[in-house]
Parts: sequence; structure tokens; C-alpha cells
Amino acid sequence: MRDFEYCRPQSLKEAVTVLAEKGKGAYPLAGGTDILIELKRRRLPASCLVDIKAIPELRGIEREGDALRIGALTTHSELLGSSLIQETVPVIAHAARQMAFPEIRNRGTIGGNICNAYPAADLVPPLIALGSSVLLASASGQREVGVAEFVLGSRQIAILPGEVLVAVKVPVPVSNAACAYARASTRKTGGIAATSAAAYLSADGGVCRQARIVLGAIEAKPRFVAEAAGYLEGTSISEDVAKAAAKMSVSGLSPIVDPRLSVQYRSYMTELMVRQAVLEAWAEVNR
Amino acid sequence: MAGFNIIGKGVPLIDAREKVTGKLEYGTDMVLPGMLHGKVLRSPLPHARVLSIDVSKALRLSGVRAIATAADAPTAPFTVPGQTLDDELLFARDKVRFIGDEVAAVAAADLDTAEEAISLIEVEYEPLPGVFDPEDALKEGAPLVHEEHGSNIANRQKFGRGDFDAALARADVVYEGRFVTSLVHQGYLEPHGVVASWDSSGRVTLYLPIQTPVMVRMSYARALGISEDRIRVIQYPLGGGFGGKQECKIHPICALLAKKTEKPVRMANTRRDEFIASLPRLPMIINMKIAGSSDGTLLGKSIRIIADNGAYTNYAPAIMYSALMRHDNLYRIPNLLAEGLLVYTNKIPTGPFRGFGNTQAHFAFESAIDMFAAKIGMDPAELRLKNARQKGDVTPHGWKLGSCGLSECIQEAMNDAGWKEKRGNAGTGRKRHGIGIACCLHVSGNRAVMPAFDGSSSYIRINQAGKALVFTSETDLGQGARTTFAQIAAERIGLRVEDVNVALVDTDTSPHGWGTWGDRATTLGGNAVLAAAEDARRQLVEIAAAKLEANPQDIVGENGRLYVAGAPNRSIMIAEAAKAFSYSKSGAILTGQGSYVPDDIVSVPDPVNKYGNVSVAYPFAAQVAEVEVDLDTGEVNILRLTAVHDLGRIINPKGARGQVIGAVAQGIGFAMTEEMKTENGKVLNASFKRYDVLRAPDMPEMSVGFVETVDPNGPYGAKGLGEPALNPTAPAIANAIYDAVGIRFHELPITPEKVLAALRRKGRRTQQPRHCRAPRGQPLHREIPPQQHPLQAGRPQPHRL
Ligand SMILES: Cc1cc2nc3c(=O)[nH]c(=O)nc-3n(C[C@H](O)[C@H](O)[C@H](O)COP(=O)(O)OP(=O)(O)OC[C@H]3O[C@@H](n4cnc5c(N)ncnc54)[C@H](O)[C@@H]3O)c2cc1C
Repeated sequence: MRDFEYCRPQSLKEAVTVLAEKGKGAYPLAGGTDILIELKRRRLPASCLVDIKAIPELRGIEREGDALRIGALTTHSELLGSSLIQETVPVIAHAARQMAFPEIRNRGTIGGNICNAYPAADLVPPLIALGSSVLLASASGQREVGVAEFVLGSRQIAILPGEVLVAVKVPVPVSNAACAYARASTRKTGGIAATSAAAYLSADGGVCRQARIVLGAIEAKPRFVAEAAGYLEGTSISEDVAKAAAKMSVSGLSPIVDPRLSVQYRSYMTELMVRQAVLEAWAEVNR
Repeated sequence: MAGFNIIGKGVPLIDAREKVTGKLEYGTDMVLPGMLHGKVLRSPLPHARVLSIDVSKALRLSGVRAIATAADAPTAPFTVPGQTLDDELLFARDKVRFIGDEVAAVAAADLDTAEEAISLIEVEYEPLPGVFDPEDALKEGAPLVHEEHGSNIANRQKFGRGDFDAALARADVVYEGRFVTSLVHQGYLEPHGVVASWDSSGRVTLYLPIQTPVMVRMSYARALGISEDRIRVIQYPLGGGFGGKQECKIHPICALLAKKTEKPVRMANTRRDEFIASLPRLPMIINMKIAGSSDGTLLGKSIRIIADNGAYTNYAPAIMYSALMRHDNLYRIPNLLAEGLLVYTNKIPTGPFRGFGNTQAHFAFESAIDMFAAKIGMDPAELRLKNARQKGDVTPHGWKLGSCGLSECIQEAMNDAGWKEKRGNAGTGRKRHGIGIACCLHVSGNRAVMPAFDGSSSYIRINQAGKALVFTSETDLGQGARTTFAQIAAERIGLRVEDVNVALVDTDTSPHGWGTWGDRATTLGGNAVLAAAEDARRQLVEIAAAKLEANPQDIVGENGRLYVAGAPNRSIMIAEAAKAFSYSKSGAILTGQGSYVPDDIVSVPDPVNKYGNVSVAYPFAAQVAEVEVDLDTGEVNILRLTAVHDLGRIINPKGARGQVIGAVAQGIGFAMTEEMKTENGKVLNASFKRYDVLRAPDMPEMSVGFVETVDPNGPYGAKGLGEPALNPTAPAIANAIYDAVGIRFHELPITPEKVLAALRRKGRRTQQPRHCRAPRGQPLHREIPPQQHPLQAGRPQPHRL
């Protein structure tokens, strides 16, 4: 690990000031479950770590009208333990529960999961499927960007120098809508996702009105599969329909390499995951 | 246990408190004044000529104290004790032979500087074509890993008993199969580490988490070109070993750096180092042929192994030897043929891993036995019972089975698992059920090649407060050997177990012995401790008898007291007796000494023919696995695992149970999830992130049972357990999968991907019954609603954490 500076601002204002001052080599430090590994492997040119854990503005889960505001520092354990999340967007708690181990879930944060932009990040596909956005703050002000636009690729995000992710805004699905997430790994517990799928569906009179399907882990960047979603819209979803949509989802994929599994198997499992997520979301919508 | 006070009791591990409170100091926790930090530069290429090494930039980095390369190391190659193929050097000279080969090492004021310096060393390589598959390595014109050796065959063995060809000719049925095991890592949580420090007299002390302190002294002395007595090894507690902590090149390299800098130096592997340059399990391609009669009589067996040594030879010749013949002693098979080739490749060198070749061979053998049973239409458990070895047998290899509970293990495992009801009941629907059995035997105190070390020695000091300290050379690697030794000593002397401590090994003060491998600790070390305890007891009893005016034969020891049989009031505390001893001898400490020399029991096997009784005792086991195969995903869920082990005598039931559960976890990993994937010699998944060892919640429901056969040669009748517990797991699972879906898996690990591909090949995938063509003559089954398997109907779902 190379030497780096460390500071721990007490407010958002202080944090963005420090980040602006320190420039390119400054990185926010949240749970550290990812960034510390990157530093140790000498893969990150960090000269300064700005520990954001003391900043109160980055905490808390609140309902704000039609949406949920989840503070960037919310840990995975907090996500899966929150009754508000359980009641409004249970898929987020479900995705958090799939991740890693209790040790990592106690430290890792939602902000870190998004900013990390790891292809297998478990929170990102459901957040995108739900139509979530991130709130960013810098010395020059605040802005809001959709998670789909924010995550650019493997370890690439649309963050500007000096910006901090403050919170995630998640639209709460209306009563006739639901989102589900399914993932496959090489092990029963704690494995990194080899492929994953999130499906958001809304219904009207037994017919699917709106569908969004997002694939994770299989490509460098979360992928919207518009064709399959379009196919679902206007139908009454059955096993066969879900299967057909799943098949469409995997055509034209360009999977990243995962030394553990062949591309064929992962594509096949992607299909199964889409089918599972679609059927689960549909069952939830019709409950 | 009737008749015993401490043997058979589940006393907590001697170091349990320190471990669970995080207080235990491991080797790399150690800090010496002025200590430097070392780091190895490893080859990035699998096979290349080293043209030049330029360390000038690295040396200029502030904080760098020394850099060592082949130029600083002895030029004579070495190998491990008892082996003859000297092909290792401390640093690659002229040529690197695998990705990870040691090229140079740096000592610096701190680890970051050492790492930085490593990146500044400039090495010029001329890449050479590599060879990565052992069968390719045997081909004409294959690149040679060691040119001076003339071929890539590092070792060749061939031997037989009886007449296998005649058995083949006589047989009604022959099964032949080719099995492949993968490269797997021991996965100990604590990576290798070392602190090395020289004193002014020219002796080096190595602080090591190591299984074999005396053995490493021998090989490190050769590696460093100094005499053994100039090396002192002080053992530190091990954070796991599993056979992988018998040797590590960073230890002598660290000594070299400490010498060069005249400062203590610490080195530790990263997890990546572990995955690219430690000594994982020797992968094997095994051809197994079984010949027998249609009534289930086994007539003959042949085995041919091609083992992938990797770039250098560690204990692999001995590992291959054990794979070639140990399993022959499990069933009554008279005609045997064995041939093995150990082959160099440009890959990570391999070494011992819990099971020592027996694990690989048992996968092939116990799978083949099942296939033979299928061919003759016999229940595979019945076939095993019919041919099972029995107590008193002398096997074709000359093994004398003083105790053998194999049949009892099989029967108990069958009963516990509900074998008869569950077998052949795969059910229909998406998830198919299967049940499979596999057995094993192992050695317990393997006779090696140096008779001086075939037994074990111990001494016990009892101080004026009546506290005992046991010295032995058989190490505790987390399996609980120290606790076992404390129990044996306490039982024999009559001490309370909490008044007995067991010292870690220090080669300056401990007896010399081989250390822990080959299931030696309990059997050989235990016998030595028992002998030393007997000697200490004799001295205590003499004092007590004089004080109590009784006959020495009438003195009984119990609970820290010595009393006259039948008159418990006439007693003296052991502390008092030990104090009396000391005060009467100008402060001497009462010391019992004991050696266990199994000369009349074991014999060194003939080097060519390999005949001889290699071990004082032989543990047996049977395991039954119950699985559920998902036809849609290829996933295999292990529902329950029954493990029944003949361990002679239970010394500590908690420890024994823990050994079995831990071994089964490794066995399941070996069977299902673990594999170091390599491509052109590069390990692709060199971290626990992508190398899937089992975690506690991944474990199936376990049922652990023991058969106590009370071995005539073991201490209190005890035999080893740590290694045999791993050997039957993979074949039991493979056999259960066969029962579920009728597919034989010949290659480990059995991943969902492989299962799915095989199911597709078999045309039995029923995910889309409508599109699926029915196998000839068979009606399509309907998937929905899934039928309940009798197993699920009959009893509650297995508990999962
Ligand atoms: C053993 C292990 C298993 C894991 N398993 C999984 C898994 O199954 N699924 C999964 O999705 N992930 C997994 N991870 C990855 C990681 O734990 C998660 O992505 C976690 O959410 C990262 O959060 P963090 O707070 O620890 O991030 P940090 O490590 O603190 O930061 C990660 C990156 O995000 C930046 N960052 C963090 N917070 C902010 C912010 N508020 N504003 C701007 N930038 C920010 C940092 O500068 C850094 O570049 C695993 C990690 C480990 C070590």
C-alpha cells in the first residue's frame, strides 16, 4: 500500500471542500470493503482518503413523498433490517441479503456499492429497475442523476471531481407494481454473483403495463433488455411468456470473463434468473 | 467411558480460550527489535530463461536493506527429507519454471517499501515454450522443465501382487474408468509466515507456524548450506495446516535475508502468494480397472496414475506411492497392479494435503467400485460388505490389520442414513434424489524411510505445584493434539487435565521427531506421552508409597491425588509428592521420559517392491451422502452426510467430531466447488473471492458416528482420524449423484455447469417436457406437480444454518 493522507470531515460542506482542495487523488472512504483492497493491490492512485463516515447528512432512510431517500452510508445490514424498506421496496432488502457475509454487510454501504461500479454489484440492478437516481453534492451545488446513467461501466461512474454521493432516491412502486431480483453464484453463501437479473413490472387488469428488466454481473455494465420488456408489456404473464422473455434477454450479450464459469453456462443461468425474477415480480404484483 | 477419568471426555481444547478471545499469538504477530520485512519477487512467466537481474534501482529506494538472488544462495539443489530428487533451489538460477518461481527477495524497513522495491527490480527474461498438461509433457518433443533430467518424468513406480492378468482373464465382469482430480488448495486461514533471526554464534532461529519442525530443519539446512544444529526452530501456533504447512520456501529465504542484513526479518505470504506458490494437492489422472465375478467377488484391480507434479518435486513421489496402493488394503482383492508416472509441468509445485494421495485415489477407486456393483446389479453397500477387510487380515501389501471396524462402519452408516429405503428412489420432477456410499482406510503413523523417526518420544516435567508440562515433537495444527496429549498424560498419572500443559515444539528443548502428518500424532505421539507418563507416575508412586507406608502396586492416581486402593483417606497430593522429589534432589524437577519404538510392528517398505507393514494401526471409515440434483440448473444440494469412523478409541469426542466435520467440509469442497483454475500455468482464481471453500452455512446436515475397535497398538487403543475423514466424502457424493441421475462423474469438481452439460448429453433434461424428446421407449414424465420424495415426506427438512 502506498502512503496516503487521511481526513475525516464532520459535515458534507467540509467534505466537498476537502475533496475540491485535494483534487484528483482524493477518494471518499465509506465502509472501505472495496477501496482498501484496491489500495493494497496498488490499483488505485489515491493520495488522500476522505473518510465520510462522520457526516450526518449521508445517513438515514426516509420516505419523501413517492420515493425513499436512502443515505449513502446506509450499510447492507441496515438495508435488510429496515422495516421501511421491507414495507416499500423489499427487493432492496432481498438483494442486500444475497451479498457477501455478515462481516462485509455490516461495513459495506449502498453508496460504496454504486460508486464501486463493480459489474456484480448486487444493489445496482434492482435500483435501476426501480428507476432510482443518485443525489450528488459538490462545492458548487447538488444534482440528481439516474443510477442507469450514473453507472458507466466496470469501475466507471459519472462522478465529477469533488462530488460525493449523498443519497439514493428510490421511487416506491405503486400498489400494482413490484420488483424482484434473482442471482446465481458458484456457492450457496457469500459468493459473488455470476449473473443476476432484476425485473420491475406493473399491471392493470391482469395485463402487464410496464416492464423493466436489468441484467447484472454478466456484462461490464448493467444492461436494460428493452426487447424482452417490450414483449412482456401488454401480455398476461405466464410461465411460457416469462420463458420467452428470458430467452430474448440473452440474445446478443457480450459477457465479461468469469474464470469460474463458461460463458454458455452463465448465459443459460441468466435466462433462468430473468425467468425467475419476472415470475416472482408478477406473482407479487398479483398478490 | 467406564474405567477412565479423562479419556473419552469432551474436555475443551487447551488453547480454546486464547483462540476465541483473539489473544493467541500467531507467528507473524511476533515482533523483534529492529526487525525488517521481506518480500519475494516471483516469476511472471511460466517458463523462461533468466537473462539478467538488475537490482540497482530497487537498492536505491530508501528503506531497502538488502536484496537476495540466486547469486546469494547455495548452488547445490535440495529436496525434502526422505526424498531423493534434488531439484529445488532457493531462487531460480538461469531459468524460471512456473509463474510464482522465486527470483529475488527484498528486506526493507517496512512492508510497503519492500513491495515497492520488488516492483523496481528489473529482470530480463527470454520466454520459453511451456508445458501445462502432464499428458502433453510425456509426448515426444515436449518442452523439458528440467533439461538436466532428460525427460519430464520426475518419478516412475511400478509394482504388483499376485497375477492381475490372470484375474482379468478369469473375471466375469471388468470395469474400467478414467478419473481426474483437480488442483486444490489446503485453504488454511493463516498464510505461511516466518521470523528469522541470527545470533552472534552463527545460529539462526526460525519462528514458524509449522507441522514438522524437525523435518524442516533438515531441508532448510541443505537449502542454506549449513549444518542442522545451526538452525533452531521454534514452533508457533498454526492457523490451520492440513498438510500444507510442512515446508515453505520463504522460510529459508527469510533466513538468507536476515543473514545478509544482520537483522531479524519477518516474511508472510499474501493469499495470492498462497495460491500461486505454495504446495497444493497433487492432481492425478487415474485409470482404474476392477475385475471380479458376477457374485461380487473381487479378483483384481489395476491402477495407472499420471500425476501432475508441477515444476519442482516436494513429497509428490511419496504421495503418488500412497495413491497407488493404500486403497488396495480396504477390500479383499488378491491380484493387484500399480503403475505411476510423476510428471513435471510448468505449474505450481504440489505437495501434501490431508489424505496424502489417498484422497485422489479413493475418489477413483470408490467410484469404480460403485460402477462395478452397477455392472453386476448388486447393491454397492452390499458389495463393500462382502469384500470388506477384517481384523487380523494381512493384506497383499503386507499390512497387518490389528483392528478393523470397516464392516461396522458400513452397517452403521447404512442404518443411520436409511440406505435401504432411500436407494434407487430418485423420484421424478425437477429435483432428483440420490444416496451414495464410500469407504476408506488410512495409515496412522506411516513408516517413512528413516527408522530413527518411526516412533516418537516425549518427556513430562511435573513441578513443585503439581503442574505438568508435556514435551513432544508431534505438533498441534488446530486438530487438538495438545489436548489429546494432556488427556493421555493426565489419565495415566492421575492429574487433573487442567493441570497439564503441552509445550509447543522448540528444537533446542523438545524431543526430535517427524512432527504431524500421516495421522501420526495421536497414535505415535500418544504412545510416547503414555510411556513418559508411566515413567513419571512410577517416580511419584515410589514417593507416595514411602510416605503412605503402602505397597507401590496399591497406589492409585486420580484427580491430582495419589491414594491407597481401598483406603482413599490414606492419600497425598501429587503436588506434595513432586515437591518432596524436588526438595530431596536440590531442586530437580520430576521428569518422566518415554519413547515409543514400533520396531517389532512396522517395517520400512521395500523400496522397489513396496512390500511391508508401514503403519502401527489403520483407521477405517464409511460415509453416506444424500443429494438432490436440480435438473434445471445442474446444482447439487447435499442434504445430509453420515460419517462413521473407526478411530480405535475416542480420546476426546468433541475433538473427534470436529475433525470429521472439518474434513467433510474440505471433502465437499474437493468434490463440488474447489479448483485452482489454470491457463498456460497461470492460476486464474488466486483469491478466496473466486476460490470457493465452504463456509459454515454451506454445510449439510451431518450425522457423525464412531466405532471403537480398540487397536492393540494405539494409546488406549486410539488410531488417527484427521486424514481418513476427508477421503470418502467426494466419492460418496459422486456415487449419490449417480444414484440420482444415472450419470457417472469422472472429473472433479462436479460443478453445476458440468452436471448440466452431462444431463443435456444424456437427454434427460426435463425443464421443458413438451419440447423434450422422450428417451426411446420411455414415456415422458410430467413435471408438475413435483412428486414428493419419500425422504421429504417421511421426515422434516434438513436443518440449515
Ligand atoms: C469479501 C467481500 C465480498 C463481497 N461480496 C459482494 C457481493 O456479494 N455483492 C456486492 O455487490 N458487493 C460485494 N462486495 C463489494 C463491496 O463490499 C460492496 O460493493 C460494498 O457495498 C462497498 O461499499 P463500501 O462502503 O465498503 O465502499 P468503499 O470501499 O468505502 O468504497 C468503494 C468505492 O466507492 C467510493 N465511494 C464510497 N462511498 C462514496 C460516496 N458516498 N460518494 C462517492 N464515492 C463513494 C469510494 O471512493 C471507492 O472508490 C464484497 C466485498 C468483499 C471484500
